[in-house]
Amino acid sequence: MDDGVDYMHPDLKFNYNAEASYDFSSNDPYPYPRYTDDWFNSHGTRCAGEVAAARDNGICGVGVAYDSKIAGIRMLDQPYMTDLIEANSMGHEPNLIDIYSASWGPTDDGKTVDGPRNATMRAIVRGVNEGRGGLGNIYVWASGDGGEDDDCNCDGYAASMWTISINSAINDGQNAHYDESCSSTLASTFSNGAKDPNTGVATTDLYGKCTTTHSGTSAAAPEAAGVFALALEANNKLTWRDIQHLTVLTSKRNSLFDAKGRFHWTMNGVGLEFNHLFGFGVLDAGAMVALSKQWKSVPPRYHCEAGTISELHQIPSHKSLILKIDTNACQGDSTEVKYLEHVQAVLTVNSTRRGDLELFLTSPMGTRSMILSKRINDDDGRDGFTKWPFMTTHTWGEYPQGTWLLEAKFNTDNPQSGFVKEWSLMLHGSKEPPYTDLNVLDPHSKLAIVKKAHEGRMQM
Amino acid sequence: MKCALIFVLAFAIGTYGYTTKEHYFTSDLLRDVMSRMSKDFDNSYLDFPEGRLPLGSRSLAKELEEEEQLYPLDYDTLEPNLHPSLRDQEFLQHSSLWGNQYVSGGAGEGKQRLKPEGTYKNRQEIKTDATLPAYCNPPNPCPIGYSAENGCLEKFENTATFSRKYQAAQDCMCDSEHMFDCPSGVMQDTNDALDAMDALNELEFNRFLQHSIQVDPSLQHKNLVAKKFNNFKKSERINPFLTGERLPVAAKKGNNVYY
Repeated sequence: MDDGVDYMHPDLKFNYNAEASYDFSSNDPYPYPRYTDDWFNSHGTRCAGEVAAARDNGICGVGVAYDSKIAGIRMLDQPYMTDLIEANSMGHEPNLIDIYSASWGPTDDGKTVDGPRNATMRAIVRGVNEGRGGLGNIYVWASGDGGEDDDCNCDGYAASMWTISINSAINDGQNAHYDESCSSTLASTFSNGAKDPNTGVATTDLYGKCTTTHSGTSAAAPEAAGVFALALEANNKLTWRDIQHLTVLTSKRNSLFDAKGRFHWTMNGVGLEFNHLFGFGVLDAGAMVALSKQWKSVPPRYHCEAGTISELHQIPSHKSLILKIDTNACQGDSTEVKYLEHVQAVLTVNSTRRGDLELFLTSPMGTRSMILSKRINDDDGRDGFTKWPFMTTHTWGEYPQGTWLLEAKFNTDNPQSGFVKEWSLMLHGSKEPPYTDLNVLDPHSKLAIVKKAHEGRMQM
Repeated sequence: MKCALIFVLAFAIGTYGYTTKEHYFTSDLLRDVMSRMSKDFDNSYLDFPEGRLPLGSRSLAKELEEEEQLYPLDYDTLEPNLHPSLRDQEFLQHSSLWGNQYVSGGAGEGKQRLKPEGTYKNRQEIKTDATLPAYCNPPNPCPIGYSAENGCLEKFENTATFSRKYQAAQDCMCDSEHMFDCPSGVMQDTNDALDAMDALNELEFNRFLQHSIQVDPSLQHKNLVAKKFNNFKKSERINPFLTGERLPVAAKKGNNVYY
């Protein structure tokens, strides 16, 4: 879903699926890019090449999933955006298209809080529930290029449970300086961060050309889409949740690190390492394909409304406000969640300066997620957040029963005031342990660690 | 004060569309009014049932089942919970209005004489949101397995020059952000060296463009018009996807990455 695809490119033309393509910007079935003098509309072509450029033809590079077919949905190239265009794009041919890759979203100016509107949200939910013959479409999302002054939990597309948001890591294992991080990021892939623009991602460009300068988290998201395509090639019965579980279990910490020393690798309650910048690490296509082949679909998912605090609580200017929700995670109900996938803190908050507010969510097992970081450019003092779902993936696999803590504070020397008006805790996950039917081939694998943790729990 | 203004506005709209007597608000307007009021009145005048609150406060559907939250509130079901207060607010729900708006009025309607002496006749004007601005349409070359019968271009050259000329032949908005110079209406041959490389010269190109539109008008660009053959009905130019509320949402990731 982008600004068009040069489907006449010799490296793409044989891997192009015309049937599943559409041009919403011009309302016709051919998403060929519009010419501009600055070749602005090369973005979709570059992303397409990363996924599906042909192999062994001596042209440009090779796509991550060179046996896949790429469809183009041209939807970014009009002077404005509407809910109608987004919704139609994200719901276009959900049974022909397996994976949707998007490298767009609310403006990354560090002060916007926005997300999918009504029709688009419906399209995503429908894609996840009914797409791909009921297995669910995979929506891959670039977490954003707002840099450290933005937080992708303020981007309702990237922060959604139904999208897999991908951040980037550069050559030496750091995060890219443009990376916008947040607790909803699931994993990372490579993108350019070096001074030399020619050390970017090599891929196809407009009019049959090649480039080595493709960059940004938008270069990272299509790589992930390619890896997920390989997983589906290995096992076409994987559901949208299976893909997220596989991502959690096979992504690698490797030598990824935060050069600024702010965010460290931390182990969650069931032994999974995560980092605020990289999620569960960099995607490992080989490991993911191998595990996909022997994968057994995860048990049904439930949604538990674990508790709500709706009294007004003031956030002190120089201290933390801490709120607690004790929950049995809907035990005894039909919606009981015992093994977590996504957790959402749905919050209504206002403050004299929204950008100075920081929010943390701590699970009963002690895993602390930064669900909102300081955004120095966000000077909103009026709107705050209204029933905004802050999502974290860090507590994946954990048991949700017990006390959840929400910490709200101002990260500033200037006096500020604000109120938490409402906090609802939403738990999403399964009632049954998710990995019992899987064979552990490597005793040091993340699968082995989590499975052992879950088995220990069941004996308790 | 803010509130008073809103009611003036609401009244204006009510009188404007008085055909359905009891429906004065569009749901959007209602939502807007409500959200402003809720700020002014702190919601204390009305107790909403659990889960149906977010009028005006945009909520993201957490579950499919909760989608009904996104519909406007149905006040009939609220009746028993309404607490009468000293001065109740009045609400009426309008059925949602769909489709494009066509508005005329002021000096753009009827026969009017302008200027103090009445020497100037007015012009008829209809304002509408039916066609929003669009850029030029790119060419639609035939992918593998497709032919001109599918409404695409068989005779195509995958070059920047071809696309530039193809788009220059259209009567469309120039994208001043991404075009180095925007000609003032008339087609110009600014770069003779590039043009020499073209397989088609300007006149042929227009003829060819015109021809390709005639192959199958239903599949062709709905809003593509060859400049020199401007004989298409307006209705054929409307792209339905280009209607509706504009969102401040699109930002391509990676175009503002500096080193």
